[in-house]
Amino acid sequence: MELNQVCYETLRFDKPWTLENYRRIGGYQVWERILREQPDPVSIVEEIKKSGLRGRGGAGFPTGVKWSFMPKGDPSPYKHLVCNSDESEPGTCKDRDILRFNPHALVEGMAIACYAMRSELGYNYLRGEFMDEPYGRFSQALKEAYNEGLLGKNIRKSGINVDLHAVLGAGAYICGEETGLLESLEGKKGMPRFKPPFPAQYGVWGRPTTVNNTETLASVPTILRRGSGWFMKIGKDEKNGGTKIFSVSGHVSKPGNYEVPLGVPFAELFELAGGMRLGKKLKAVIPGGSSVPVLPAERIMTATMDYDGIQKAGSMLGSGAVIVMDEDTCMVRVLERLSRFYYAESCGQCTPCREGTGWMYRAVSRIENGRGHMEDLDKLVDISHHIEGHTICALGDAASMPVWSFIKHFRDEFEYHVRERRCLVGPGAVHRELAA
Amino acid sequence: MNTEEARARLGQSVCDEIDSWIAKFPEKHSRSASIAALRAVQHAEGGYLSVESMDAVAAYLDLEPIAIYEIASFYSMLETSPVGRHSVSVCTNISCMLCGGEAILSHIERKLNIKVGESTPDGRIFLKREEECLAACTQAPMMMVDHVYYTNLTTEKVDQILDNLE
Amino acid sequence: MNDNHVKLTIDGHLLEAPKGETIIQVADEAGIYIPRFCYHKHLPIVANCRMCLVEVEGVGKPLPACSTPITEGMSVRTRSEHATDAQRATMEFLLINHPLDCPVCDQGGECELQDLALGFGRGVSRFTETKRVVPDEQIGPLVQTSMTRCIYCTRCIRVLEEVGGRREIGATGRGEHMKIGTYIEHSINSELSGNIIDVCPVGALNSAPFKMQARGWELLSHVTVSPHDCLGSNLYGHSLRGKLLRVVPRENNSINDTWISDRDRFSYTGLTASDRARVPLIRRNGELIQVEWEAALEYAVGILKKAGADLGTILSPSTTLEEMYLAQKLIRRLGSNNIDTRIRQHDFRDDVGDPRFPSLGGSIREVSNADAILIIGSRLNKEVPILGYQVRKAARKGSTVMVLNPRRYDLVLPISHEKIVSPQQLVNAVAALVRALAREVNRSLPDFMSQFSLDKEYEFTPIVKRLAAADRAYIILGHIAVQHSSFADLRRLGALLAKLSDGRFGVITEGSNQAGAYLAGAVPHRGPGGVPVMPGMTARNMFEKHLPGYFIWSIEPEFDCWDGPAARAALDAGSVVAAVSFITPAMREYADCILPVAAFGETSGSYVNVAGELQHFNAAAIPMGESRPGWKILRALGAEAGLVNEFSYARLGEIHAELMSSIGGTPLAGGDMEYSGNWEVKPGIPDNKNLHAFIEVGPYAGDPLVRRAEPLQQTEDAKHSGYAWISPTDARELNIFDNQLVRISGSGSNRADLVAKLSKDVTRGSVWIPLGCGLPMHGQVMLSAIPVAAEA
Repeated sequence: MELNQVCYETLRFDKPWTLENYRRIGGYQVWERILREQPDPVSIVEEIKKSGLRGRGGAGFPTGVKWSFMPKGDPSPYKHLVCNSDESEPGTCKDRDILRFNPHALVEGMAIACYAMRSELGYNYLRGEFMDEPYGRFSQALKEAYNEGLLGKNIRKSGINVDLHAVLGAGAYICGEETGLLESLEGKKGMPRFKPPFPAQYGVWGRPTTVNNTETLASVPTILRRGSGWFMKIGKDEKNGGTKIFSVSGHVSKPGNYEVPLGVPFAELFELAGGMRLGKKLKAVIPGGSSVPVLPAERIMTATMDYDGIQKAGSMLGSGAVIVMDEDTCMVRVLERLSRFYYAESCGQCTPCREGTGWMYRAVSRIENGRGHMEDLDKLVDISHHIEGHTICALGDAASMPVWSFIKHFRDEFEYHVRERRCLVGPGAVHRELAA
Repeated sequence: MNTEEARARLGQSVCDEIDSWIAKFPEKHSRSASIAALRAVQHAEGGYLSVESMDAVAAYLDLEPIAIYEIASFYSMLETSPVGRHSVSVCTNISCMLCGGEAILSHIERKLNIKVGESTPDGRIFLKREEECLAACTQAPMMMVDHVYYTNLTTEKVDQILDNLE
Repeated sequence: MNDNHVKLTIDGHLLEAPKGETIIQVADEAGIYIPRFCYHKHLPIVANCRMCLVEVEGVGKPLPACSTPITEGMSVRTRSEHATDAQRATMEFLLINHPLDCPVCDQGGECELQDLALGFGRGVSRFTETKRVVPDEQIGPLVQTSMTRCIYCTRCIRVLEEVGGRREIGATGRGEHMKIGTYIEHSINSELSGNIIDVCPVGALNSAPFKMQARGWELLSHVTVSPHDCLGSNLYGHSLRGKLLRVVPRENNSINDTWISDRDRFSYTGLTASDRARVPLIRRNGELIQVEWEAALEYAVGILKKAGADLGTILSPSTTLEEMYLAQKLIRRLGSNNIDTRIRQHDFRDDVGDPRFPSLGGSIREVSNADAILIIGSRLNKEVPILGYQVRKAARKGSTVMVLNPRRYDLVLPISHEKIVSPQQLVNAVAALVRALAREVNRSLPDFMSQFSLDKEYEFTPIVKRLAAADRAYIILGHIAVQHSSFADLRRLGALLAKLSDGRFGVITEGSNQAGAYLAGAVPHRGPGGVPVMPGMTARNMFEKHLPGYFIWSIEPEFDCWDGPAARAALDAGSVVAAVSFITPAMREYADCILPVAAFGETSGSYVNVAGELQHFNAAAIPMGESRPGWKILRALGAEAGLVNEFSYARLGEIHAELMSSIGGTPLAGGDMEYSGNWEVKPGIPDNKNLHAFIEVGPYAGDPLVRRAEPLQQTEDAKHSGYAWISPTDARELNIFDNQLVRISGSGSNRADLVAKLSKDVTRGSVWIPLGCGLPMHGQVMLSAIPVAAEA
């Protein structure tokens, strides 16, 4: 299996982030060709559609189709491309490495996307915590691109204008939600907007806007350079085309970001990551970031790592964050931490999420601390089902899925906690003796 | 407070930085610079935002003060009460938790003799409660000190980093 | 089917509605109730409470009815299992942290949460965690907060932003820790702040004066109309056992939508002031003594008759149409034509050119649909808060709002162009604007324009360009213009501006029934129906002349008249019948007979608002003490005067019908603001070293009732009005410091001692002082510091 063919291609160099190294892999060839030949923007959108590229941020919406929602007409500084580099889904750290190690791929991808959607002004919104290295590298790349005459007004006398800027958030998970991000970009609280209207009609400052994930946009130059067919065929099929970066973390020997073809069996990815550390047994995996349902070992071991494969196994590919847990992991304890996270990050506007995330966290916390009741388990599942699908944005769903999936797959452990007022698992990383 | 008073309150370098952010956004959308403006003020004014400085930012950007209070109280990286000079955030979200992030945090609490969310009495270190995952999961456990990431932490490494903070 | 309509079904009902509407709008229109908390038809949609979730066929998850646009063929079910499951869940989430304090909550019985909990709640809570407690904030004397009850619907935030024009409160923090409030504790200063009480679906924001007064279900609701400004906002008066305990808005989408000003909402608190006139009083041997009504009426008629043709009658411009009609009928029958309601007007040169009645020159909706609005001489938002809201609405729709004022005010409006000139120069500035506009639109000017001074240059280009380009320009003259000593010129120039921009022109009249005064014949130059009659004296003349007898009605001349000191001197000299609801100390000195009149809320009647709309209202409370409705007093005075047949009305309706027969039906709306006639212009006062004092009528100082409304008097707005506001430049030259006690001396012995406040909003050469301080509304003055020793 070939690794790092798209977003991480520069990783084979010593200083992978330089413009020089990006040029060595054929970087900016596509953009320069566009500047020279000025193809019909629709042809680029079509090419992206054919590649099977889907949004890599979590929702998996076909990228070319999303681009086609933008209003046509003349290129304009009043419609916008926004790159979502607010990477904050727990377990996910792939975009940070794109920003650190291959920022020019993102610059080129954004420039191409602007051209394809006839936008002359794009923004990359990075989470505030990325202020040091990722923001620094990306800003440097932008500066180099301007210096090379690859961005700006009337670029290389082509008549094409593309200006790109990097902006920073200030710490809020909800800004990863695309309309929360747009609100934040407008200088407001990152409270997601209800839809419709969708960003393609009413985005940042009320103008047509497309929001794409970092990995999605960074994939674009390679797709266009090597052909949509090439990209699609690396993957499993047209719905699961190309490569995907999986951030494998937790109890594996070699945690890391692995850019592999979609459709690779989990077992292979698991092996790449060195298998379980300390010879422990695999207990469970959250395959797509903390917001997707957890899968027990036996389910994930037979799954393939692609949108359909993970769905078949009972979860979602999400952001590609593969969180691996060993036999000593207390699932109640893990759920407590995740519930606390969603409780802390709920923006507060929708009733079910604002009130429900706190309720779920407190109930799980009681169970973890030996003060739970058997009826809490069904109640938790019921609360989660009444948050899911009832809120403006997907944070409500994200907060719910861990709750019902943990209880569904590890109910015995939760019951043990309630009944025995202590932990089922033996000594391990998160084991604790519980006070009665 | 009017714009001129705000300018005087914020100081030239902060205003210059705010202006550089305003320049990134379309005309009449200087509000978009509000988060960056607060960050600039926070950096310039000892790590937190006083009501007066928030009012100055509001005046500078021609916003109602409440719009700035809302932002300052919404984003976790913005502090609205005095904190220590160096901000230390230890990630305890899922991947770090699985890899001992909580032990790192407890170690720091013991070492500095403060609880998470508190600052050391000498004002040197603020141990921020970090709820979010900081996106360095494959290098867990990790922490962020004044915007810089430190990964694959051990207690020895932590000691060394913290001891070097002035 | 109309192309702009779509067909859909809601709960099986086939409906048709305009594209772009949302499910809840269509359902409301069809009378299908969908529960909601955050949705309010006059506020922006936020879709955050999730109470209105409904099932839409073909969509897996329930959708919010408030924000989901209707589509052709859509099938909505609001009561299906799927929908009610979602609604019940939302209700449970709302209740888990809501306190169970309904028995002590003022919202009890009229609480949207309580109502919906009955329909959608569970009997027993599944929530076993500790409930959240949220600290309260002090946000001023009008609104009581109990923030633990808040359900975060954000209606209050949106009301203050959309209706009040300013984000005074917000939602700080996030998630469960979100707080609604000001963040830094301070009072909410919008003149429309009380509306947050109405929109709050729970007991988080309640009326402070109404606290613990009564339960909603005990109250009787009566239709009433605002007595405080010329818009005539529609109100309900809520009373218990004959006492008015609360005033709330009554929806009228051509006037006030669902909003009212704080003045209209809280002025009722003044009804119980200790100086209410409760019994008839007459002067005997120099003392005011209590007598029976009959004796008082006889005494009063004696004074009125004795003065005869030389009687001066001055009515409040907020007197009801029927009372105005009867008063003029009475005094005209007694031989006097001296009747007026224009108590804060000084310049009457243009009476001869008056339209049928002074008005806005169009409907209120035409103001909110104007595409360019020029406000001249007005603190609009405080003078007529709801008109301020209507202009705000226009601005939101893209209208350009422009201001030409003699002092800078924060009108809480998005002002595109603002020009501040000294009050002395206001007329010349408006004349210069007229000239510039005429040049721009290439039209000639009437001859009188040559009489205005040309010696000062004004830069009006943006205003001129905008007025010339506007399709629906609107020129509005406010109270400051009406009170200006060159009002006649301002009015003629304003009308000319409207003509040159092919727009409309209107005047914001004082009181609630100034238009009605013209139609009732209660102004010196108009008889019933507004027909011209041989003019009697104006209010100004009556006080300048020192007449032998005065009949004053619901006014306190030392506060309410243009020249308070002059009025006082005249009243001291003549015999005075005062029909009033309150008795000032001065009145005890000059009044010879005091007839206690029922106050706002205690009488029925009608008003004609500034848009020419005739509005009736009913008494909501029993008149205090022995006071009687004004029309009954006037009827009795008529009978006492021997005019038994002419004053033999059995019911109020008969008086109304008699007046309406001379008005000729009710279609008055709009109002024609053409001015005719000619008079010599009065050029502005030169900007020289002389200092001029101008009275600012504070928002809570304008009439006897609001001056007694304690909660309103405790607001920042009321406090703000109590000073002498002067420009820092003048202050420096006069060696005056902020907060220093100063003496302002006018002509004769007129003088006022006030605390000086320095403000850049005030132009050089002017000092702005409060009502009732002992000076006329405008006059040249001397200002000097009072040495500290002299204070003691």
